Amino acid sequence: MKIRLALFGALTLGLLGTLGAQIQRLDLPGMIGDCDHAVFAKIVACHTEEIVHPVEGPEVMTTLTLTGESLYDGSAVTVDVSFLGGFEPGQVNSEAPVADDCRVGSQIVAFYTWTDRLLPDVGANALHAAHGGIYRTVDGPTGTVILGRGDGFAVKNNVKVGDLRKAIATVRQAQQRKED
Amino acid sequence: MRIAKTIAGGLALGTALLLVSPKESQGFSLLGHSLGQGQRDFRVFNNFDNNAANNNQTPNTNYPGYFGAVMAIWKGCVEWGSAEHGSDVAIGDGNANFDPSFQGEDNDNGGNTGNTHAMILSDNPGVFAFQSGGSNGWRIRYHQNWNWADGPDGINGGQADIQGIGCHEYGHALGLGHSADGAATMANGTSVGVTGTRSINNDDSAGLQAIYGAKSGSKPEITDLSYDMQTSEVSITGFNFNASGNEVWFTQAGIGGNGTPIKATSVNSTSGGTQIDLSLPAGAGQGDVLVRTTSGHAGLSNAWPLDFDPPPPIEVAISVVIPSTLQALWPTNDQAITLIGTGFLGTTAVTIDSVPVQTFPLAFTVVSDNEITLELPLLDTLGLVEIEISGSQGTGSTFVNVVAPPAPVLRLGAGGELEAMNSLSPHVLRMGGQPSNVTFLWVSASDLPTPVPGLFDLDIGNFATSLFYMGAFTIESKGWVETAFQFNGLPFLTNIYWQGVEYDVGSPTFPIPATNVAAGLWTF
Repeated sequence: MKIRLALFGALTLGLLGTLGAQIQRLDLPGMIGDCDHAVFAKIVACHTEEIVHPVEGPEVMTTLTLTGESLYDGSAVTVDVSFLGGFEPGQVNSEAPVADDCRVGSQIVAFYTWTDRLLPDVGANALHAAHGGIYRTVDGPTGTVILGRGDGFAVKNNVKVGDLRKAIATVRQAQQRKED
Repeated sequence: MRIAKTIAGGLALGTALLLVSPKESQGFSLLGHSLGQGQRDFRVFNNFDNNAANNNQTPNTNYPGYFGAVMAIWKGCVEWGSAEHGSDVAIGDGNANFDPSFQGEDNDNGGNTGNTHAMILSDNPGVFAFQSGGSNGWRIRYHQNWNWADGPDGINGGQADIQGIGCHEYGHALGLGHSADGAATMANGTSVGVTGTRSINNDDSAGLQAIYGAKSGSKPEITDLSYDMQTSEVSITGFNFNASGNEVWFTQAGIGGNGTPIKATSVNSTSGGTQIDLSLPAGAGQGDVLVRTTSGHAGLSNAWPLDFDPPPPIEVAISVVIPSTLQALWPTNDQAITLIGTGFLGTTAVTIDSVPVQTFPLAFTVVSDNEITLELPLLDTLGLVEIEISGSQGTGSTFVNVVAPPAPVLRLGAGGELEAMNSLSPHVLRMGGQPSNVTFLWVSASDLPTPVPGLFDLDIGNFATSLFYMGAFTIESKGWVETAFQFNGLPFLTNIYWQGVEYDVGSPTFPIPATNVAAGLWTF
């Protein structure tokens, strides 16, 4: 069991490393300090559209509809989270998550932040740090595990959902104390 | 069984991964495309809108004719080049059969395949920039929500480095994915305040060489270049030039175009393929020169800067005046204006319609080589007024438009909030408005109003119980008129309030518009 999980995790780490853009290096405290929310959720819909702006021209945006629970307080959450780029030829850009990260039916962890201008006239909950804000999960015999993505990512190592929930709570408490 | 199947599946996946992943000792990854010679051009649409993105205005002979964000992105791209860029030994570490061709500035964002860097009007949390496209053209976009900085040296902790991030994104454009080497320019993420990604490391160049091949011994290379401004002759020194049939690529002059280099074709070399002499082709400007000998990746030389040497003299030029339209009279003080341009350092004199401005104390300030501020004194004319600056670097001039005040104006003395008054000398009052209109003037010791329904409303006079009529004054053609009054015998620290109404003789309006209140404090 241990071998299977480790092998799968390492393979997935390799897959996720091939695409991306210049995103911000963030560890978990950095991500929690910057983003609005984190959820553990199922992708129930994935929709890609082209939006044309008179100055910027056409831009592609993909929106994932997520249904699950908040990693902050455990409440039920249904939210649309978006990023620039899509999956068809000509739509892909270096900041977008790969198609495998966004499969409908997958359970993922997502960090997101509201922006009034993901595109010039479009406000949305943006996947924070784009592909750096989404993490795949696998179901293991001892629970669901989030696949870590190495140094510079909010979830660096493989971690169980429950443990990530606790880690987020610890980070938020520390940040709250600092603000107080 | 379950375990065996899983391991077999995992091994299959692993095999597939090995086809695209780097060797265990290397971090780079490949996106699966490359740029042919037809896609080596890159341009910049300089729509970066924060100050730090374009505050580097120091000329650099290795990046001639361009500044700010354009220079920074130029450096970021040619860092992938096969050899040092001119005398800039810090740039050009690719050591592969790859060199980009700088093509100046674009006049828009270039669309999806224009090979243009541009800022995008988007606030994308956690994302600095992105690249899209591939072998048939690409684009790079920088999100607007960051505090972009052009360097050229260090940047502040809260700033995003245009050169370094541009270098990373151009790495994607030429075919590299992210590197597992955290120290590589192509590492996945970066941070504000970081400039380390400006310089590619061994892993980055290994990735570049995996796509384009290690620099070939037969690749043409430029080692020096000179340009004679008098004859427009370009002299290129290097090696591996063809005896005949070379193409020499130049950066386009001006802004816009389509990115295609300005090319001189069918060019011969001399001295055993080490010297090319040619005339600067029409449309070519300062920028980069490359020599093409064949169509393959190894057939294009490194880029070498072409600087118009000797550098042209710094021109003293005023490009912007803020504001460009001024009122002839302002209630409080002389109007401050700002001149924006070039060559201002060394300015020793400013004249307004050929009349020197006050030199002691100095009525103008040379803020920088690009900015002068001065206070415009009262003028005797409306319309265009010439402002000329002169100094050690030459002379430049511009015009401002002086207009009659659109609303009635009253200024007492220097226009201070509470003008000190005494019996020693007359006090000057100036009334501004449309020429030929008449200003009726009153004075009062009260700042309580005096409404005259249907006629005018004064803010002084206490319902005419403390209101003294001081006369009617016709606005002169210069947009203002001046008079003076002298008092004595008033109690110490008496407040004195002045106000007028401006009557339009030609087209009267009611109520007659009033001036501002000018206040004085009687002392002795």
